[in-house]
Amino acid sequence: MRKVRLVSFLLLVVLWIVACASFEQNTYRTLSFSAITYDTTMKVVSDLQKQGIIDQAKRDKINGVALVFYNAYQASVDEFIKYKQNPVATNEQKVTAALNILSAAWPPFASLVNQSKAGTMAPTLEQALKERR
Amino acid sequence: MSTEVVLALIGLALQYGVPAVESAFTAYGKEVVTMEDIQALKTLIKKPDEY
Repeated sequence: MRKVRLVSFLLLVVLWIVACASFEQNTYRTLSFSAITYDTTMKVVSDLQKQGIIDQAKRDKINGVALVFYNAYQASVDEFIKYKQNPVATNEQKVTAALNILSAAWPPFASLVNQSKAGTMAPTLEQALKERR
Repeated sequence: MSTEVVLALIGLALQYGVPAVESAFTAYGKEVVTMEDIQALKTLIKKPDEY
């Protein structure tokens, strides 16, 4: 339960931290903390499977949606690299679009994990932000 | 740095150890983001079936 709360709280802290910084800082912080949150969540999932709370079929489903998130994360980093090489408006828009896809990949991932252990992840980034206020 | 952030980082340290806190501090305190920093993001996470 402590891990669950920590993951949720960490996400809230991330959202607060990115509230005031440059585009590069915001993007870097968003991706860094997305990575930490994903990593922590997958460790929780692994623990739940070891405890028998998640069976192999459920794990396979979680891995499927987690892979979508993973791929969206890697694509976002790739776009960020291109932006860093050539920081023009069109590349900034591509980074933003990639981050939107990353954000969209979050709810299905959270939903499946939360079915196994309620409250493990905030359902959406937006809701996590509202809960903090 | 606010009390909330410090508490979150202490919580991280207690639960997951120093590496997670180091990552959080690094991201939080980064004033200039270099190409090396961005490229390092690629290896921060593993594919789901590697957990």
